[in-house]
Amino acid sequence: MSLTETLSVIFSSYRLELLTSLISGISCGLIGCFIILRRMALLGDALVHAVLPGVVIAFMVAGTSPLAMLGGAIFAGILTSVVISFIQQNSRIKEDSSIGLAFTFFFAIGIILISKLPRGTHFDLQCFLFGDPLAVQAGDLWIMLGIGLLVSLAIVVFFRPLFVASFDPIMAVCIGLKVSLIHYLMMALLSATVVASLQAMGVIMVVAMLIAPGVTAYQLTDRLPGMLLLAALFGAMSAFVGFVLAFWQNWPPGPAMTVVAGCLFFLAMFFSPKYGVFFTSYRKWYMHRHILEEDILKSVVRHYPQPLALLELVQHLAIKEQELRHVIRVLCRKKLLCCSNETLSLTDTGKELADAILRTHRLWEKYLAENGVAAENIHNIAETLEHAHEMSDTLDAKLGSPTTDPHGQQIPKPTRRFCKERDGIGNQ
Amino acid sequence: MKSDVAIAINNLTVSYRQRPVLRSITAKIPAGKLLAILGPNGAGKSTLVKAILGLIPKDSGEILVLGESDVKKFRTRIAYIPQKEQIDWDFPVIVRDVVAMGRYHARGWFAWLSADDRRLIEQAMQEVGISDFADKHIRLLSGGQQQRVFIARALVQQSDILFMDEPFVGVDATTQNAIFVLIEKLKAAGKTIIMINHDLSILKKFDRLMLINKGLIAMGAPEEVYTEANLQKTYGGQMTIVDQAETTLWQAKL
Ligand SMILES: Nc1ncnc2c1ncn2[C@@H]1O[C@H](COP(=O)(O)OP(=O)(O)O)[C@@H](O)[C@H]1O
Ligand SMILES: [Mg+2]
Repeated sequence: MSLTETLSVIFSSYRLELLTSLISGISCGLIGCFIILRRMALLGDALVHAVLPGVVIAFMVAGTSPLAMLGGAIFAGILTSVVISFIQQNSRIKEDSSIGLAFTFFFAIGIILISKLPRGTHFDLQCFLFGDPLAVQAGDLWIMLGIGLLVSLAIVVFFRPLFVASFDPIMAVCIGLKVSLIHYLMMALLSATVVASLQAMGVIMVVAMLIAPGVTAYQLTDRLPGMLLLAALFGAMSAFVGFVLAFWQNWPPGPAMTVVAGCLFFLAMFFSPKYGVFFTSYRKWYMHRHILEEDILKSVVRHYPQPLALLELVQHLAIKEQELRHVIRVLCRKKLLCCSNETLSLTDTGKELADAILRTHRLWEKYLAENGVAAENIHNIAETLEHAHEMSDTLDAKLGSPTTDPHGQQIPKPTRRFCKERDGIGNQ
Repeated sequence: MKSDVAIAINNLTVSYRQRPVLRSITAKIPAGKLLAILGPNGAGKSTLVKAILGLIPKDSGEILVLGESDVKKFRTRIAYIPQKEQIDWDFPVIVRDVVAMGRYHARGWFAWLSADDRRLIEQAMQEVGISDFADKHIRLLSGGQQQRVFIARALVQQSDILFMDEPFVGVDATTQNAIFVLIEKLKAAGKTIIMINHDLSILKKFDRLMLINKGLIAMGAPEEVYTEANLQKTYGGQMTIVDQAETTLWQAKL
């Protein structure tokens, strides 16, 4: 089947199944944000498994009724988190071990219960573990739609309590919030979400859908509402693309969605404009290069009007000759520097820029000296601060336009071009 | 009616797992003053603060804050500035969001912030000098600026009492002074500030000292209580007789 054929089959005959997967992707993404921020990934993983006995008992009592399964799951989920807190508070066992103990215990009870089911009934453990989105019934969809709406609504309505309790629990208590209630609300929502996602991807892959969309969003934004929206979006995207891939390439659906979610994460990790590996390394490299260029210009201007021998500079800046030659070529191309016979001299523009750097350096020295920084440290601190020349006018005004620095050297006058217009050091 | 006692502690004992950490503390913390709680690591300074806020149960004793004994009522009048390492500085939150948190109690959990609230928030940021960073992520600020974000939050909370848990860890001298200037302003507005402090070199800045080591050693103006004998008792590291007795009892129980 071609991709377009696959899509048209999905849209004509499998809308219900697709919608169910989308809703579970969104719910997982939303609730997952709080799991990540409250560092409960392990607890989330545990809870997802521990709902099994609840689901099996519900199945024994009420057959395949989705509502009963939902009730059973929420009950088992909350019971598990209560047991985990109980172990922690009443023994010397720490959180991670009590989680490991409690969830395997409940999962095992679930498995034993399955083996004790009466003859002739069939509980599909395979489906519980790995999901089967194509077995979705219309009734399931309504339940899941309900859960999806419930989770979204709860997060919107309880946004502030969830936010404060996650960021600063002590303040939350002080302004009258029941933090433990919020915790159990989270656990209930999580258990409900897990059941909602059971059909679509199975418990094991649910963990991926809880974590991956949230951490992907986390790479891209600095605010919680933004993180929630993006996580919902990535959850839906992973579910949709995974669903289509599963159909098209005949992959198991849960793992297909998980792999898509994982790929989205790695994309964000490398290419997030703010926190991505790629851009942060670029910014670091750029900063390093920028500082080196300015240091070269400064060394040359200190010699002014004599030209400076290139080899002397190698020693002075303590860098590899090869790198220095490369940077000097760049500076010559920018028409800041002239290089002939292995000696360097400044162009007019280069002189202006170098003066601006010197000016900032000496203003900083003056400022630091006046603010009680020890004389022997002044030069080194100024050496790093000087590269922020947009500050020089502010400093100048603050210091009352001094003419000499603490060493008695003259502070160059501002040059129009370089103190106003910036040639770009990243601000962050 | 303004009382001149902000917090009255009467015979307070607090334990972790039946092991007393603070023993029979009785003290009156004056209103409108800056108080330092001093003591070595593990002395129970944070525990005292948590007990006042009702975050951990007390074994015995009573605490009256601004004449009110119901912790649920009085703790809404206290602003707490957390210790640096209690905060997740990578949390997706910008400066303005943190300050806005201070209005949640007044506004309620579910209502929109009003224009007045917004003005208060901007004003507080202005006052502590962080307006320029209002839209920046909290991770991008320096240690001193991060402290000021939480001071701004306390300002918009409009609470009468301010707790600060070791605000000067990793903060340079200039910033420290800037924070003291802010504290002076708060005091002028009649607020009581209680600061857990490690740094013995700045004691002159406080109106009252409270020396603690498992119990109250001394309390009063710095020139009265900052004595060799009191320091020896606080930091001397010698087990008191009661300590020894309790350790023996504890071991016998195991
Ligand atoms: N949650 C806890 N459970 C058990 N013991 C604790 C707990 N928190 C603190 N303690 C103990 O109580 C004592 C006082 O702690 P704390 O008040 O944090 O000291 P400080 O803030 O003065 O450094 C310490 O001996 C510490 O080990
Ligand atoms: Mg402490």
